[in-house]
Amino acid sequence: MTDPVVDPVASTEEDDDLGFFPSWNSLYWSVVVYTAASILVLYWITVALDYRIS
Amino acid sequence: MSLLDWGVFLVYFGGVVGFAIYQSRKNVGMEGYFLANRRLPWYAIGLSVMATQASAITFIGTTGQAFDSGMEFIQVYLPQPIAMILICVFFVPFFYKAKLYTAYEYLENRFDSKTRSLTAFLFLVSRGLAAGIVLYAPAIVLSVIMGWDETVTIVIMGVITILYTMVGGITAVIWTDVVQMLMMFAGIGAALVILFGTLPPEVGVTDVVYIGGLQNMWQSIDLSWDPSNRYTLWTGMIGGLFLALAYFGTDQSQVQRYLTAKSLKESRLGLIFNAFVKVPMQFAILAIGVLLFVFYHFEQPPIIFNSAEVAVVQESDRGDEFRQLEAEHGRVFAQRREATMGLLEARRQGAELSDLQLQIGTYDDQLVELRSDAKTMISEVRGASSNDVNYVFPSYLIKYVPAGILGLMIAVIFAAAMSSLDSELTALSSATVIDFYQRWFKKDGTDDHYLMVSRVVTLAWGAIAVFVALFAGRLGSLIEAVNLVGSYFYGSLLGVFLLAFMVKDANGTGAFWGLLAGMGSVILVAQTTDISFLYYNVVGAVAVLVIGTLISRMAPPAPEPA
Repeated sequence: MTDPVVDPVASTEEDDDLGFFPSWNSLYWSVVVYTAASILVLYWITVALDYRIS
Repeated sequence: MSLLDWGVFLVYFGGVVGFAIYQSRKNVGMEGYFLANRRLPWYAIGLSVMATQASAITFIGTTGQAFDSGMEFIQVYLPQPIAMILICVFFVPFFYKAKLYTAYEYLENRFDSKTRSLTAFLFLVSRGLAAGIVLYAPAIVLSVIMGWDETVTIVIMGVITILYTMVGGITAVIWTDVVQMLMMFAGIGAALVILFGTLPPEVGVTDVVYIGGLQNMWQSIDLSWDPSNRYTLWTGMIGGLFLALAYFGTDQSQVQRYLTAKSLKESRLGLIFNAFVKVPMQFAILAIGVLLFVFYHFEQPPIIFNSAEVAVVQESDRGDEFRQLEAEHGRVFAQRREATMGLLEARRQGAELSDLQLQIGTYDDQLVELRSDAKTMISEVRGASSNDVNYVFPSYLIKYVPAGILGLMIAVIFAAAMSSLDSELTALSSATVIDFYQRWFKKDGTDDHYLMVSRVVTLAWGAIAVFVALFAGRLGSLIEAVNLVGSYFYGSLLGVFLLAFMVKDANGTGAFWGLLAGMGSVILVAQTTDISFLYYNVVGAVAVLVIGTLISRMAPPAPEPA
């Protein structure tokens, strides 16, 4: 059995040029914000475009 | 199809195969065949990950589902962006830095050979049969809609995919996936434009939104807590998150894609690309279904879109009864059409709408009930449940789409099927050669030898996929059983990887028995509760983590065979 442990944190960022994003953390946080925004937009669609008459 | 359609279709096929083989010319050895010599850019990986996930049934089945029940299916995809981040942070560095060929190799490095072999075996069994279904499902739809011979369709799709996958390996697969995914984007865009174009000229975008809203077809978020309902925000965000982690983080057909990247950064960017694009794409596909729902307020839809099922029931002793349902469906449709036109006119004039809205709601309910009665009758006559959702979109295409575009759309359906099959074949081949042949049977072969074996194994898996597709109709219960097993082990498989990443003192004994106990837990939950199958992934993963940790702390690791 070979050494099982590869440290994911130590073994990352060999190239930090992410264009618009200053760091990986900012890119990941933008995905989180994007997901939250998507859910809010879909919730708005759900509520605003419900034309049923009860 | 017209000559123009055939031209578009054939140019697509020729172009894809030529492009694939051209791109693979720089492949060297087995690493080239399975990992493209680790030199691919993020956008190719990102598009290939999407193309692998999007099968033909995603394209035609999802639109049919939205036609019947609206946008709610989108909730299953909402956690995917979050899953992509978690995979980028916790999974990709482990796989990439260890220079692996398969995800299961990692489990031997971390635990032992039996855990690796069990997970690879589960993958091979479920994916081997699933590859056949990837071919069978669109072929059966096209045979009914286009009148094409099912066998010929399966063989053409299968042989072309096997050919370029066998010759070009993963490089050919990923670059064809890029083309095929771009074709799918074009197809989705074209479908939306065409659907608007085939509506009556006086019906505008706001009218479309309004008519969809009358039946709440735009409902994308359901906040109810019912765990047996698979389409709620909570089921999607919890169960769907674990499913996405299992699929993108541990399934070789996806892991292999990001192992081909030229750097860790490119791997991650490919996944982040998916995080941003997948939800809007799925929204657009589902919107096609809702647009179809609106379109069929103005054009008479068949009561059942699957003409083969209709033919069976019409020729049975309940044929007259079915024709009465069809006639009633036509009558109610005509009333709804008139009421819909009246409602839109009243809306333009600012008149009172509630009576007309209620009237249309009543007609909608009647049409849904008539369609449900027709499905029930078909199920009773055939002795098997009616499958109609996959036929809604193709039947629209064949009837209403102009020449040239139809060829493009049929090519898109083929592209979706082939881009999933090719990825399955390379993944199956890599797991067979790396996790079994090289591990257990021939450790000291030359690179050329393994390359030759890999091509033969790709051919063999392709032949199995075609065989399963050709006989899928007769393998019904077996395939259902395998799919069931697949849903039982997916979360447990994720649990083994989480155990490896998160529990430092976990060992092979704990992982192996934890995996089996996790699958057992899922079977128990499935048999004794009615929770949505998406939660099985949570149950499996948590059970493996807990039981695997406990066993690891109680039992020493077993000695390893050579």
